[in-house]
Amino acid sequence: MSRCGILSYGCSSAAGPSVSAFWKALRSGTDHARPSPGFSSSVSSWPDSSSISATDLLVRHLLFAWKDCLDGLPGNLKDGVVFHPGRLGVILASTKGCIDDWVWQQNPDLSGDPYGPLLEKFIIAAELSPLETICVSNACASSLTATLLGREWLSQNRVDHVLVLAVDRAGPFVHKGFETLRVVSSSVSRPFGKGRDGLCLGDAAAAILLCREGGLSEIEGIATDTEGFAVTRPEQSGSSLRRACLGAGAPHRVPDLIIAHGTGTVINDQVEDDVMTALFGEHKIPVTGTKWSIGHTLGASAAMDVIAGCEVLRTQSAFRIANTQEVDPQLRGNYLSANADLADPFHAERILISSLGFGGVHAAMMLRKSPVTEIQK
Amino acid sequence: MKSIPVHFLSFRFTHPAEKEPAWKGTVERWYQLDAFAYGLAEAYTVWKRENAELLSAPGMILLASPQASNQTDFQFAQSGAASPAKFVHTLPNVRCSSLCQVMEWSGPVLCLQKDPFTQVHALREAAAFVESGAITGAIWVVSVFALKNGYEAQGFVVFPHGSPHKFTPSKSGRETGFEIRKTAQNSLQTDGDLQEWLNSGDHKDLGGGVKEFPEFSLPGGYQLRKFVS
Repeated sequence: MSRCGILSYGCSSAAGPSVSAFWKALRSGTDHARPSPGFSSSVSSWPDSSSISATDLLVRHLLFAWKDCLDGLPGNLKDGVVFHPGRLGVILASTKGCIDDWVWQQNPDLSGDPYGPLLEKFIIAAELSPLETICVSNACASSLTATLLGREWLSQNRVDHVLVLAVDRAGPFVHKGFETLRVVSSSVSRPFGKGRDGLCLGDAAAAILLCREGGLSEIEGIATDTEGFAVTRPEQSGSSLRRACLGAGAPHRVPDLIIAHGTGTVINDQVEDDVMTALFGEHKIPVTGTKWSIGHTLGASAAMDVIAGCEVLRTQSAFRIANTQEVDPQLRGNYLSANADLADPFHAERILISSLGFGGVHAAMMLRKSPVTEIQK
Repeated sequence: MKSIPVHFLSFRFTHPAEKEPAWKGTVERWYQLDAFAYGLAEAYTVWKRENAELLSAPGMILLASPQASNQTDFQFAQSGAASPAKFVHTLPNVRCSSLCQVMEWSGPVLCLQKDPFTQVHALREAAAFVESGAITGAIWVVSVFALKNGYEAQGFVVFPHGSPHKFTPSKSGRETGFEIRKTAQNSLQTDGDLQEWLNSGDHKDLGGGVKEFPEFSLPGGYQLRKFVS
């Protein structure tokens, strides 16, 4: 597999419409995640005529992320990406797309998937003319799966740049669904914490521009693995996540930091702990996460983790899981909880990012600092 | 580019199932599966029974179902958005979980969507993966369609370069094979066009019992060919 770099990135989340707002929240320990607004079970009450459609809301989020991503590009590269349309690929990662726009109707038109209209509208609004487009929906591992495909497009020389867009909205459909599963926290999300009781949901959009060589960070390894075990929970041994991590280069390549999926649910956190301890136990690698701050942003969550990883590599500083005051004593990892020691500056050459999703999907990425990371984004 | 051998399989079914499936002991609470997850598991079981040698473990599965999980999403919402068993099937990749369980397989699965070109683009991606050599082993492109009276699961097994062509015997004694070739031509044909082409008997008799079918153009300058031995 040929090399692949991250040329620029941008995002929009509960923390604000930029990477700097997201990074500030992570570094300062600010929790922007909100508990469920308590949507009604009567689906006919879901549409709110005073608000904009889910599609428009998501496109607006994506445009903020894209603008932020463009702002990070040097002028000459900006022209190359935006004005050389014949060589750009765009991949949208999302779990539910614009589902909230139609699912409450009595007799909706079920033709067409809920992702295409979103991507189409964004492309028009952003005035892009990509050569290739597709949508990837691999549950909460969608972002890393889309990135894997983007890397393959670059390797096949089909395009010169791939824009991985990731977006999801915690609207009524998603909120009601997660509530039925009883995995939504009654208070705040405390990944890997003692007495953790689930996740908080959040909205986010991310734009990550991939290139063949160079870039701010390099994707050293990336892999995905779907297991045949159960729909909503991973096998207790974590064998599928382990295979994904091996495919991304672990444990041969030892990261300086792990950005775990860290949903704050009892089983998922336990499985991640077991796998990472088995892979890197003796190294005591610091483990952190982002969902405590902006919520679980589903298909966009891993892209937000990649952006956090890029910022760690760029600034040589890390962040804690600020909501987690006390780590679950049953876990063995070196978690950067609220009171953990955190070196500053934080020397990081490599970061491992892990991702889990419904349907037994697992993914992992090894991100490495590239020489140009020193250049200010 | 050498031609890429492809094997095509299809299976029609109704849902809910009228009897317990042979794999009932493999998939936890199989009776709660939606039609798409049930159909993939059942189709695989039937295909494996009839074509065991064609269905050795794939290197990758591309899941490409037009309309994503719209039908299940709608059912979940309209039933009061209260059933966890329904909600877990409101993601289009989840239907692969039961398939993987029945196959006793794990590996890379990419769930691709691009309606109305979902299936044709997945076939193109499979061909491109085979051409680049990034995946060892066959790539399966798997889809489930909702029909007026039931459902149809379809599987294209896209083999690595150099594999011998695979033929499907028919009642007439003739054998149908498929292959993908690279041409200069791009295409805007849809999944619906592909279904028409698959069902079409249009062909030229070349003499000696040999039939030539018109090619189907895929995106990216690939072409799907159907031929009879």
